[in-house]
Amino acid sequence: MARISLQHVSKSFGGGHGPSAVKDFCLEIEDGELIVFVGPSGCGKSTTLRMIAGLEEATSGAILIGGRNVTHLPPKDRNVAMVFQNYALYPQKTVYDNMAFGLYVRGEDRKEIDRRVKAAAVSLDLEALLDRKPRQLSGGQMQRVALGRALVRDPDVFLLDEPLSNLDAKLRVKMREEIATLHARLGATMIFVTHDQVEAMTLGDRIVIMRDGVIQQAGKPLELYDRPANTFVAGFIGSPEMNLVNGQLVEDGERLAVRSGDLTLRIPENTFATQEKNVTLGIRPEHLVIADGSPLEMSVSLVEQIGAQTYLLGMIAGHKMRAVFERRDEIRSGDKVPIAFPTERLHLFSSAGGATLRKTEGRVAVHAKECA
Amino acid sequence: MTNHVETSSMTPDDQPLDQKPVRRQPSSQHQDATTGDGGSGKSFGKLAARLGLYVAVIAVCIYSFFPIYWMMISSLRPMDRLFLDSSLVFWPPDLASYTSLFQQTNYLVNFMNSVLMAVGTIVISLVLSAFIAYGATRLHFRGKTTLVASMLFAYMFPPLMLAIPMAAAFRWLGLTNSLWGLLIAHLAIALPLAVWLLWGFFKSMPFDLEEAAMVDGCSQFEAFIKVVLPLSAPGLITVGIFSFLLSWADYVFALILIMSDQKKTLPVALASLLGAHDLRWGEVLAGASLIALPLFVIFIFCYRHFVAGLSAGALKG
Ligand SMILES: Nc1ncnc2c1ncn2[C@@H]1O[C@H](COP(=O)(O)OP(=O)(O)OP(=O)(O)O)[C@@H](O)[C@H]1O
Ligand SMILES: [Mg+2]
Repeated sequence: MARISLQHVSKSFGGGHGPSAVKDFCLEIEDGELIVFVGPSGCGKSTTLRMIAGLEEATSGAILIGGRNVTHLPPKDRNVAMVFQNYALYPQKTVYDNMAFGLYVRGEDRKEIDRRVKAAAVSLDLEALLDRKPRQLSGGQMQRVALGRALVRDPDVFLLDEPLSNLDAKLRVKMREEIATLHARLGATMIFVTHDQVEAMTLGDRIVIMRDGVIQQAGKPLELYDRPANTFVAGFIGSPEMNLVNGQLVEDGERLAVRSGDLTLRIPENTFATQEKNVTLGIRPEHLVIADGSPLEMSVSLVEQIGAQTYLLGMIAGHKMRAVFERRDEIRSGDKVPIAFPTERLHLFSSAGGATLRKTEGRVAVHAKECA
Repeated sequence: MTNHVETSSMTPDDQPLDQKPVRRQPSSQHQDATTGDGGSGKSFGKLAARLGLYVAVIAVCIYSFFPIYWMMISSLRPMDRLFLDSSLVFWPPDLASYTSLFQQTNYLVNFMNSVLMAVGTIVISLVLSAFIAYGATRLHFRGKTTLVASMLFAYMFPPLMLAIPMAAAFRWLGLTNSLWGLLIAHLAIALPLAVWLLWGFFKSMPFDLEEAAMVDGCSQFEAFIKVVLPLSAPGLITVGIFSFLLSWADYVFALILIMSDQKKTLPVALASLLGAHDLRWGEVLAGASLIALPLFVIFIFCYRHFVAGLSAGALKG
């Protein structure tokens, strides 16, 4: 188990001259932490993970594992274990040998190998499958073998690159829980890559959101939810997406407000920096409330019942918005629903660049600037 | 072949996947026959087509195997009856041609020469082509495909056109009339094809497996040896067979590069029997049968791998 330190790590393909896949990546991962890299396709999650594993060499920057500078070491000398998206099990070897291979290669004692493989097989419920070949396994079983292969090695770091994406929805949830349990039991440092925000929110001690090779924000799941660093994070975390409205900061009596067309909303005092005029206002669909007598109305164009909740899509003062409420059976498409915007739930971003205007409340920044 | 698979009752565990398409065949035929309005006419047409196919296959087989059969059967005929008797089957066989071959010619020496060349060609071409092909798939450099494809350039010329300049070059190198020279020549024709085949093979192999092995504790070289090579067995077998065929059946290079009787390989030694004052057909046929024997053995034991490796390399190459 070990701390991982990524210092100004960059990667560009094509001999270091191509466009960069990862830019100035700085992150400190604590011992035993489960970190989730999340972001849209092509944002550099896998590349970052592969640089930590040693499968790609960083173009610049340094990678430390347990205080040891591993930037230029080959994968075998880093003591990391990796679970690949398509499992990458050795097709000619049995389940047992797949799990034992890494120990054989390292010249472990046969008895010790046997003990560790059996133990991993028990904890992953693979005992009955040890003599099978990978092609005789289901996707979920292959997934567990891949996990087992990592587990027996007792590595400093577990790296998991979208390990659940080939599984069906039910199995994903089950495996997600198994990984969480495993992490809790082992207390191992893990990095988990996904593009699924639910996986990210539920698994991660901390989440790192990336876009175009750049960290957008790194923080605890609820921090990201409550105080997104920019509009990208605001839109990425939370489902349905946060409603975003471009507007201007204006004086509304004593208080400051955001005006956009017919919509004028007061903003909380002393929460946001107010130098900029052009701003983006954000509010999560689940934070809108139905308030009888409110001057604002949503003319509903779509109602989605998903059981516990009711999703609405409609226009509020000329702006298309989504809203989520506790189950409301009576709302129909075409209805007008009185809506209120709780002031303390509002988010404010700069229109230029999309960075949050929230003042940092004396706390350490939510932002990704971890490197000095 | 297919009949056998259709009727045999294997458990699904033994034979996953590849059995399915074969099994489905009869049921789809059945459907055709019952749903079509001219049902019986259709199935009769199908039967006729199938019969025609069998006849054609048998004809081709007879056409290509008859000379070989004739060669073998003639080598077992009593020598004095060789030109009198034309029966296709007879008993008992007479080994006189063979004994005469071994007593009166250098057959065993020549046989050993051929074996040496074949084994040398197989081993060296396997090792070299595996490394070259792996390097060519995993390293990045410009014009890679062109380079590998251009190795096959040599096959555009008749062997004689390669052998003559080679002979000149070997004289300069002091390799005239040397089995080493011949080995180099055999490698020169075996390697390009070997690299080409394995290149196609390695290209189709996912990088993930090596990467998994490297994370598991292997160097790239170990990953290649321990993970990639075992998975490439069909390709390696194909390459081995090809190298063997090219070396074992080579006549032109051995003819041009080797002079002394003691160093001749089988095909050339055999041909020189024909050139002698009396035509000893019995011995020639016996020798030729012995040359062909390993080819049959290989065909019987390896042809599945051979075909598999060939199509894998060809399709994905
Ligand atoms: N071997 C490579 N050569 C050139 N470019 C590459 C290579 N590998 C990745 N890239 C590029 O680097 C960028 C980041 O890729 P990466 O695989 O890290 O994305 P990702 O976040 O893992 O995406 P996904 O969610 O689709 O897996 C992409 O633009 C990709 O095209
Ligand atoms: Mg990826």
